[in-house]
Amino acid sequence: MSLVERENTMRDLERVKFVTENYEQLQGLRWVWIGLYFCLYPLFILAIPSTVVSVFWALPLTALFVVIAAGMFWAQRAIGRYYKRRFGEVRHKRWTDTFTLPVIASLIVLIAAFFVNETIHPPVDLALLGFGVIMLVVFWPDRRFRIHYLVMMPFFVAASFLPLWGVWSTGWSPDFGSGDVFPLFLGLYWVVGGIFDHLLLVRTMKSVPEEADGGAV
Amino acid sequence: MAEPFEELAGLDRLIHEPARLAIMTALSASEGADFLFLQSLTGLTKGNLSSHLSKLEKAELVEIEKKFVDKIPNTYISLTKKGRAAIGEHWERLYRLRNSTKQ
Repeated sequence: MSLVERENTMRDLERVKFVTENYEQLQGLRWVWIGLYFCLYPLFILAIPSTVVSVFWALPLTALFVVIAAGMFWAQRAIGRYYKRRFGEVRHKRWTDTFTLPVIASLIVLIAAFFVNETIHPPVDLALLGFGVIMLVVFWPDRRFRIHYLVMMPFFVAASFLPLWGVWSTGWSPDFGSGDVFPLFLGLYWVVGGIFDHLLLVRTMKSVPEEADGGAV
Repeated sequence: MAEPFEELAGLDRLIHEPARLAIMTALSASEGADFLFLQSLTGLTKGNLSSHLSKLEKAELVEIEKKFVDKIPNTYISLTKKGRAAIGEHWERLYRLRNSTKQ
């Protein structure tokens, strides 16, 4: 049943507003691919520790990752076109307007956490812990619609304590350091969040048969 | 402060109709959207949505722009200044009404 057929309760209208405001971010399948790419990186590090990779192999392996990244970027654009064809297009303010204070503050927190990880080697992975806290702050206002990020958050915070048991070391490590782990969690964030965001979008929108809309009004 | 009945009576009927309220709310949350997006979001038929948009355009609440994107016709809808003010005021009234019923 469509939103309008269900009668416009305030909640439905707030959902309309939320989906319109966050239409691009809710196109979750776009981010799933990028997430998979980031998940691939630590698995690669685990499979081939840096001490084993010779200079001879470093260049082709880097080239391979660049090619995969280019493929993911292409896939992201192609999926964007799919959403546009299926659900239409929304125009928002320029992307620079979305670069708000919370986004800048989040980046500063993450960079600071990485710096402390690398220099002091704290017993807890501060980058991952910081990421969990940022998720809580950013997604708390959207909790009615995007609760999945808040469900993911405790796992991230809990995982940040794993270095206490030597699962990985904070800071740089020749084998497996926090710099190698972070892309895995960032990737998981995009994969899981992307799937649930996509489901939220699909549940809200009604697919319209593909046809030109010429002369619609 | 206005009484709940006064607030209710003051609601603009043109905007308060469920489909049009959904359309106006979506447009107020963006710079504008195309016809397909509004149709997908509201679940209205093409004819029904066209009819609602025509009424809103006649009242000068929305602006409708027709163009071609990759040789495919595309109808783009955005709120006028008057429309943005009207939906903002309408939402304020709705919130006031909700709060007054809670008291």
